Amino acid sequence: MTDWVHSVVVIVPAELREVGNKLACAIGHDVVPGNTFVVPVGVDEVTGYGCRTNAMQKFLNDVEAAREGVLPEGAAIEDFDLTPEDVAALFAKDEDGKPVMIFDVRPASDMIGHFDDVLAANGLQRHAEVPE
Amino acid sequence: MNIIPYVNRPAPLAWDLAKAIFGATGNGTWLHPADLSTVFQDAAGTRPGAAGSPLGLELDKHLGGAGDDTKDVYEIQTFGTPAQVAVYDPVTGVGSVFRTDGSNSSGVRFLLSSSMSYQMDVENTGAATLRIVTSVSGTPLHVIAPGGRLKAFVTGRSAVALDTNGTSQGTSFVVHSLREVPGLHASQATTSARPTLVRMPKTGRRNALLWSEDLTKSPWNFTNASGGASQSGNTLHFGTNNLDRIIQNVPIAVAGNRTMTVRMSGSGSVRLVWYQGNGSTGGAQAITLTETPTDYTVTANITTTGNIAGIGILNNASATPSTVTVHRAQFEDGSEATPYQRVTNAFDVHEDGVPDIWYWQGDGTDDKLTLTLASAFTGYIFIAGTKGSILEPVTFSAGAVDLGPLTYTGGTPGIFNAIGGIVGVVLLDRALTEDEQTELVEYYKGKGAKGLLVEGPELVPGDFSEFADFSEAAAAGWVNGSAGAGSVDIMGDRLVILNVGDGANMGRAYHSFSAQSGSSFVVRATLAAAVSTRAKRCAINASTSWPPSPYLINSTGTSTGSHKFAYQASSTATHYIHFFNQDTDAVKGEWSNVSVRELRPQEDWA
Repeated sequence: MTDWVHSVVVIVPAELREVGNKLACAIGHDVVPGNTFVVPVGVDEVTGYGCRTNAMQKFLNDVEAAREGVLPEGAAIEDFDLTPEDVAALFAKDEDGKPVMIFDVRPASDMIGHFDDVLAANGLQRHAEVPE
Repeated sequence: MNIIPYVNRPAPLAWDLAKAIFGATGNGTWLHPADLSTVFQDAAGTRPGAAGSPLGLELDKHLGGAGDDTKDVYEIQTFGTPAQVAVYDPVTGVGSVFRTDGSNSSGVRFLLSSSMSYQMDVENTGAATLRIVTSVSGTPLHVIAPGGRLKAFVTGRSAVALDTNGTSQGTSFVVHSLREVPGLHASQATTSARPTLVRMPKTGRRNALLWSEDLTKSPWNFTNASGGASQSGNTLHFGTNNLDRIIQNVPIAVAGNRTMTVRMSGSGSVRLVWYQGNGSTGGAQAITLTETPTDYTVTANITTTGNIAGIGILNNASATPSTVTVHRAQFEDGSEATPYQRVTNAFDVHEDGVPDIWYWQGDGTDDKLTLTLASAFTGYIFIAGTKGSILEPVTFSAGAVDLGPLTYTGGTPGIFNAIGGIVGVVLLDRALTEDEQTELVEYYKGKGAKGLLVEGPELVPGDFSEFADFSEAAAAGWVNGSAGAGSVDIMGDRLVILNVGDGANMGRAYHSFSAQSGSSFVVRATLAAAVSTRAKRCAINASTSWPPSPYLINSTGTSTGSHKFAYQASSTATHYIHFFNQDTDAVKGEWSNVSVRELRPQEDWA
């Protein structure tokens, strides 16, 4: 099986992390309680959570459809305590017209470093907090 | 005396890792992705593992496969008064379930041990949906359509059940087996956090193309310049334009000779060319095609770097129609064609006659597999990697032990960068003898791993007790890179980073070391003073710019402590380790025992 041809980085604002995790469960990419958005990003404080995954073309199509408010067949968001408004919040834009959710795609062969490249392009870095 | 030439000696028996390392009583796990019977794409084990696909479940190999069939340990569950009660024959595994409505249903419940994994093989022989659920009318784990058959793993559950959904309907089934699968298995339930299973030739990858036998896939790019050209799979019909073509660009990092070889058949003629972007071409070879598949090779010197030079198959210069079938293609460094390597995506490359190396590759971001320990564990972990291997003592509490993204639970942060792709993992509840260690390392070298990682000489003078003041440290290569009125000092065995406290005048000291792209280093530093978070930052990068970024140490709280982590250089350049203070209060950051040493496999230091 070699159709996992895309590398995808997704970063959601910290306040939408739970929504993102629930949506990942609803579309069958995770199981409850959801651990998709696990990488904290931010400098002095955590401002968002991200993930990187290889994906098939269908996943990109599903995301594009979700951006238009159409979820994949079988995605029963109400079973995961989500409303259409919750999902719409992920695809909303901020007051500067910039999408609140960072979504970046490149070939899967370039997956190493993809996440950090996206962080750098958006003025972010991993929240390198080392508990003592 | 008879001397038997080495080549005529009987081959030694294959070394049996499970017997040699675990014996009859050793506990732990052995993860070995080269055994495709142990790898699956999803955590439930419903889809077999394959090169280029995610790895969601890897079975422990040290106990050697499935155990007892427990399909006869069951009970009939009935809720309300369904029109039919479920039936089940524990010998044949044949049964049926029924559901009248949400309050009246009946199914078959199998009793399991929550500390054990099981593989369930179930066939739906009826006309309605069959569900594998946590209990009758409970949460569905899997759904089997009429006529379908599913093999799935169940872990950490005291029971599973079979039932159906809908109204006033039932279905029949056969439980072919419900076998214990003993061992400590590694899994990942979250799709985005699954590593990728990789297959590479043991001699390395040379063919730089992707999809070398499938021209329908990106990044192959077909152009119909004539308006009459078409593509059907790997067969191209060129029309009346000499720029009807298919190309694939590849990245060229270093200028030099490149060779491309394409096996083609067909009618008419084509040109095999370098396609260097912007429509320019070079090194063209005109080819008159025959029906016999034939290899055609062109070699040329590529002088431009970037993602711009690659294979191009163009229509003939006279722009007459032609038909070409491309059987396979290769693009490689050097001026000679070498044996063909089939490439699908970047994680699946195979060369006939060369052993495959199988390993799992994480992304360094969130990919990891997790072991779940039923009780605390003390012993050793051996991780064999494509860049190097480690053997370290471990103590784990009961619960989850992660393998990834950049280390294992309790391991040196970042060490997976130095290990590379993971060829094998052995977790054992005792120390290995020297001979066992040698055999284990050599076994995995034979599977494509490198030897144990060993630290090289010190690259940074970090024993600050050797310096009376910072001028002596500067003579040893330390640089005062403070911003504004920030400053640095030496006090006893400590490097002190001072800060004016206005948020603009901040202290920094840094020291350089040379690094090759992809090389790994072990970095140590001790926080010697308890101060705020922003006062004690450490970064490594290839720049002296202020402020350094990203941070490698950005400790929370105010406690002191030692840090050890692995760093991987992403470029061949002079690198710098920075200690700096970005606090807005006038506090000190104090460091001692700083060390940077390169990590290489033992054999590479020779």
